[in-house]
Amino acid sequence: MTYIGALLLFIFGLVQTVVLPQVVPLAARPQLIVLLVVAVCLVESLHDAVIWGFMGGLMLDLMNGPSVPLGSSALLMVLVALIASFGQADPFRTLVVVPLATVFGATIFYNILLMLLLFALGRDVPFADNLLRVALPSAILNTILMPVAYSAVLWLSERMGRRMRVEW
Amino acid sequence: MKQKDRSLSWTRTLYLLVALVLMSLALILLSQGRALQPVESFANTVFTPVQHAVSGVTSTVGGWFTGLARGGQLEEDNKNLREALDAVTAENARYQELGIENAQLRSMITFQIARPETQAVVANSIGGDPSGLTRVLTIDEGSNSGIKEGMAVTSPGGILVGTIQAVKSDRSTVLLLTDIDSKIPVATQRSQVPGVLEGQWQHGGNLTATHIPRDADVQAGDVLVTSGLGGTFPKGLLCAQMQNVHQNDVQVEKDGDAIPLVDLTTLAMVLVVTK
Repeated sequence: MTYIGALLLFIFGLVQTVVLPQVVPLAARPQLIVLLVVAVCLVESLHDAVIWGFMGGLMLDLMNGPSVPLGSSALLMVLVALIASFGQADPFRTLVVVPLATVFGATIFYNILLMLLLFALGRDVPFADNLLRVALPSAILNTILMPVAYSAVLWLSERMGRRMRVEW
Repeated sequence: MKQKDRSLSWTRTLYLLVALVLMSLALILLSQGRALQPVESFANTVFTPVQHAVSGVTSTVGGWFTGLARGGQLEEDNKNLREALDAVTAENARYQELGIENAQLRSMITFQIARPETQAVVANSIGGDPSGLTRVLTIDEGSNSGIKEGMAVTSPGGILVGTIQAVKSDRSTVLLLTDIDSKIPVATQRSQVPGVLEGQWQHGGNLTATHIPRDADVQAGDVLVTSGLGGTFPKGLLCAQMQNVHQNDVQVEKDGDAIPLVDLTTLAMVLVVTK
């Protein structure tokens, strides 16, 4: 991970914890760190993605209030990176649908893990309502944003000489 | 050779994955035991000013977006509130005639004037729940300012907006009234009928007043205040207003929908009642 990665995670963490809760009046909002981790996993490797996931999760934990323990988002994001690695099954990146399906699944997976964490912490968690009102719309938003995130990470990756050019 | 390299790379990734999972678990355990407080305090001193600055800009923009998204609902809310306001105004006039206004109106005037005996810490909102699964607010004051879990949090005007859910040295999480985990013992201001105010946001609603005795005198438009039961909150803090009352022949209790008296989506500053 480079300083650019750290800066990106800081900005995305700030937008996720401060800007989106105030600007988006709905429960559903894009999960930017999930989006970034999935994009890194698909463009680069699982190795890179788990590092981005861990750092991004830590950033969220530190910027968020103390409602969940420090390290919990980091753990969830590492697991999200692991799930996203299933999207690497298309090694030549020929299927546009693969990144979209991967980020959709990873966002749902992240929300389910988060609900389980809240449940474990003794909170009242309406699983069905949260899935319908938060997880599903957030996954759709992330899917819509994925082409932008994927292209941006790919562009960055090329600038840093990590991968050959791959067209979307 | 190539296969060996790939295998080595996978082993390396697997080790890294396991190491990061274990590190996260260790962080969670240490954090629960408050062993990481110095690290978190340091991070807060770095992040809080940035979050504060960004929050200052986005809360203004956020209010605009909220208004835009809730245009239709605001119109209906406005109509309901005007009707309710008329009812409350008439009610107040009657109370004046009966000579009992003093006790009832104490909670309706500004917080500091009405409650000289209470102490409150002023805190700024610096964020919310990044996932959207809960209705919480992050504020920039914590245990260093005397804040403890369970304390009441009000708007600057003294209207209850939530409770302190979790505290760190210099930041806290406020569980807003509308979150499903929020359950506040309340009473109607007019008839002092007890009930419990429960959040319904995760179910797509605002608030529900439950456990209201079946034959109790509760009407749409009634203002709900904290009852003080349980000793967690000061008595008489304004909370919400009843929108309707549901009752059927089978249930021994009745319930009703309620709305918060302040817009919980645009809170930039709050008071934490510490004493």
